[in-house]
Amino acid sequence: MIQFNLDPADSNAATPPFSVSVIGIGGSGTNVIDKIALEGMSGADLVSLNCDVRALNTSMAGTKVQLGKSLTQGLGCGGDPELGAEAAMASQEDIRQLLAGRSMVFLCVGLGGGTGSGAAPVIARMAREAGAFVIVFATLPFAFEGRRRSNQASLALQNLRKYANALITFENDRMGELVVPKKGVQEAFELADKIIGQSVRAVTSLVSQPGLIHIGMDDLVTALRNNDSRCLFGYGLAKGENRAVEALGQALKSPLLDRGQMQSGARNVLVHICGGSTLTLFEIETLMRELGKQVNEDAQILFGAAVDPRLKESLSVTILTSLAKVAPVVEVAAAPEVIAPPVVEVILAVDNPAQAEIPVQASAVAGAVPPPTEPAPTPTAPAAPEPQPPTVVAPVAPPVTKLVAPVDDLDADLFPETVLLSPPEPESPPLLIDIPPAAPVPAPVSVSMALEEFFEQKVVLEVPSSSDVPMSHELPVALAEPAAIEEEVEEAFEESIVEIHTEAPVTEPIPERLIRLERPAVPAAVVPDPVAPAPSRNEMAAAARRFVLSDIIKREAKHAPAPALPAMEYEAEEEIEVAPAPPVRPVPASVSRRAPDYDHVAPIRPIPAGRNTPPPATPFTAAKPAAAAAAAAPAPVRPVPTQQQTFDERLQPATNGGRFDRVKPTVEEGEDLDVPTFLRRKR
Amino acid sequence: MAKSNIFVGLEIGTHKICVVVGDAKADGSIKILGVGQAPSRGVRKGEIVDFETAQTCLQEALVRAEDRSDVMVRKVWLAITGPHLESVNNRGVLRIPDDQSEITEDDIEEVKEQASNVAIPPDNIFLHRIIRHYWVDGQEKVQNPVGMLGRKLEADYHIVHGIRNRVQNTIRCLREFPLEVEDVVFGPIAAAQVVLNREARSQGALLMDIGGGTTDYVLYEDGAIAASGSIGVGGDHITNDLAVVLKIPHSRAERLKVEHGSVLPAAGGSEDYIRLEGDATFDGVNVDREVLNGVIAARMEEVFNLVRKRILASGASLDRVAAGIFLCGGTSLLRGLDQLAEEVFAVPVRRSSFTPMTGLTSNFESPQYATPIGLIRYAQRVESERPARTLFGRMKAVMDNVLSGTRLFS
Repeated sequence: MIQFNLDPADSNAATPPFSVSVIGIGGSGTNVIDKIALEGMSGADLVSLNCDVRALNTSMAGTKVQLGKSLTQGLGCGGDPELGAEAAMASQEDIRQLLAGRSMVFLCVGLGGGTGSGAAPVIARMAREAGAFVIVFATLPFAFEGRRRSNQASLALQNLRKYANALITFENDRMGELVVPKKGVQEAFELADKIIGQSVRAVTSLVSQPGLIHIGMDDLVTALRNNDSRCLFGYGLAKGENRAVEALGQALKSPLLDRGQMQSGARNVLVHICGGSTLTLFEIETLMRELGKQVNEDAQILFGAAVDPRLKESLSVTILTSLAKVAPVVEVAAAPEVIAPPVVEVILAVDNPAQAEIPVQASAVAGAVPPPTEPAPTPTAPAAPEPQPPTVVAPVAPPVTKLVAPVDDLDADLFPETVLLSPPEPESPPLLIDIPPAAPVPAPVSVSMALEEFFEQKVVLEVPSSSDVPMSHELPVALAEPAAIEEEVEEAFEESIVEIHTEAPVTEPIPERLIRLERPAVPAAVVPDPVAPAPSRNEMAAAARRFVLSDIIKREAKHAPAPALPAMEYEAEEEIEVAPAPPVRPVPASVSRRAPDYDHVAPIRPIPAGRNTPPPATPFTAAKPAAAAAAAAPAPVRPVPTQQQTFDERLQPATNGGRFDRVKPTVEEGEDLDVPTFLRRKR
Repeated sequence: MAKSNIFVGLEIGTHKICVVVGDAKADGSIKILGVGQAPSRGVRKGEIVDFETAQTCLQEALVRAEDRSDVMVRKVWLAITGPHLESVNNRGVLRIPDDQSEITEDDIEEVKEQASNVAIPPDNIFLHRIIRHYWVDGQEKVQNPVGMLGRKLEADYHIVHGIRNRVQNTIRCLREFPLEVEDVVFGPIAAAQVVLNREARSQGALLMDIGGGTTDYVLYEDGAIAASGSIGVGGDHITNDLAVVLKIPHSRAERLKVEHGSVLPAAGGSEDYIRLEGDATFDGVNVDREVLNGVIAARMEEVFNLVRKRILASGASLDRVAAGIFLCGGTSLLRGLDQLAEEVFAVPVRRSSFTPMTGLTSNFESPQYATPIGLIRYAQRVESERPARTLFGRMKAVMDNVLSGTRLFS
């Protein structure tokens, strides 16, 4: 037998160019890194990346990087992936430095939250750009964490798929398989982290260690070559007489390895066996034969074996395989469906591609600093948005510290005009001149300066823009009662903010934005100086203003120009109240045609008699098409609403609220079988 | 005299709760020691919706059964049903390694695991995994492949699964008594144990258990289950239909159905109208017999068509149902139902009757009791296999089974 130099330190020294980074992103990623650090990991840098300083401080990683220092001020992302991505972009210098020259990068991340879901795709991309082989271990949230988080997670997963060479997912829901449910929670989580840690170690040693039958990067690439980078992983470690079979059994049982899928889907299976000096050929043989039963006959098995004296009596098996599916087309097609709401698209259309990040920043800032974001100076937006910001900002911006400093300066940057308004009066030319009429308004202490400014602008607005009906309305009210108006205006803003906030993530397919975000980084000259971010923020403010205005305009347009002010207010309020109602109703309606109707029939009866308008008809007519549309595919749409009601009428007295009202309706081929067949046939 | 084993079968039906205490002798015969039953409340479509009410009814049934049989009921075999139960056939494939030629017990276990690798919804659990046939190297329908030589072992399994929470809710309801649940059995599979004899099963038979809340079916082909399922429509629906269409109270509708209902248009009494006398809350009406039977027939025809569609959709065919269709369950007592079923399925239909019991059976030969009594038979079979773990023991159990089967059913 050929003698190897088996001292791992030496072997690493002999191959210096091979360097590995293990990066944990976000809270759960950091936990994994801690676990790996605790168990010891040689030959790899452990890095923890997090927005939350507190979590970062307790981390045991060798290198720690705080993401988005100025963006989150050391707090977490609060479950907002947009903010997470933004934070990663903000710290990209640090990250790129970390990634430079790495041959292999492991990303451990818990998806579903803010930092993990947002930052991981960005970082994976950077790692890829730095030329590293990227393996992502992603933990998916528990089902009970709610749909929002799981949506965020799946969105992030889609993005990760593009950038990662290999993507291994661990569903938290499967944690129950690791431990007896009665055992401590801590144990369960620790075990889950441990599994990921093991996997990282196994893959690293697989590639970096010299072996009897060596597996190299090329084999790894072959094993993982497929089009959606999802892959399966199993690791087992056992000692004792029957260690080969036991280790394989463990590996096959690994929660990261879906056995059924491996049997059917795997085309390339990479197997690595590592044992102490007692590893025998017989063991390898039995193990491989056992494995042969588990995989498809025509699957290619890439086999590697190594001897590592550190393992002593134990034997470890690592199985790595990708799922060869021809599915990606579907996924690509599915992605655009998620995108759509037209509202924000307006903004996107207005902005030029370089400013594509605007909505994101808007939402980010809105989350951090809710009240000050106000839509004030509209005239600037249409009049001369492009030239103005640089000139105005120029005097304010130079102090670099401002960018780094927290909240106050942040909105100062956002609204340079406001800053200018207060101290150096002469500098802001046109706006100030218009102030006088608004000045007498008793400015309450609580009214922010921004608000004041808002009123001022309204005076200005009346002249140029004919479309701003609401603004002109609000002015008289403002004179009458400032406190009330303040509330109202703020409400309006909050609404608009909320809208931006909620819509932005949906509208924007993250990947696209990432690509765009990348662009300013390329012209190196622009990045470093603080002027660059400032105009974009300025733009963002402008966009927000435009958005709010257009929103209000739209709303008013619907209700025609009613002259009486109170009526207007009432109408507007009703608009807002009614709008959310319809989406709630159709849900039960689509589930069953009849059962929920029991509840509704009683209240609905009296209403048509009482009111001359048919308001209840709206939710129902709105609901019916929705339900019909849902059922359209399997069954011909035939429910006539009036007839439906007569059935309910008949059912009502005879069955005391329905014999089957408490059970799931029996629906077969679109027909509700709980309705008498006799009546259905007659129809 | 063989050692006796007392089993208790419990069925919580939509219409009645039935507890049967039976003594299963090792020679395969069953002696019914006692039956307790009580009308069921708080159960809809085979599933408990009101726990407290259902428990009260169950208590009543249990007490009666204990009284009559003089047995303290602690462990029961539970029959469940409900539209959430689904079934699927799946085949597991195992390649026997090159150096091993004989098929072993472990291989059987392995292939069973593989066959269980079916995508079922995450909330569901397996209720049954019933072996249909083994295939060795493509050779058809091997009964027991252990010890055979072969390269490739395949196994067809019939898998019944249902929503975990619904199954567990019922079990939890029983635990409060306290009653231990030995095992949970899908209703029609239990009923088939007594309704279908060996010959019928191997010829091919369709068992339909038309109960109060559900219609359950199980199809046998070549002695093995080919399809099974449950549809959430039963006698309760007929009652409801009558109440709705004829605008009469529910209790009246139920009585009307039992006393006068029929699925044949011309059947029934000679008069064209049935007089329902009024009382304090209800003005009497005359019920048109034609309407009455029309309502029932429409419903039952629809149910049969649904079962037919389901079976065809599952990939099984009705061509091989040589022994015919067996109807059981309370609703199967409806007049003319066998004729209607014959029209729909174009296969001979019989109402089930079973005789291999001793004891109180004569009172309980009615098809309503097929499921709870079948449970005892099922329990007997499972128990007889249970201690057999070794190869020898297992073969013996199989042999026992075969022997007892022949004695029972021939």
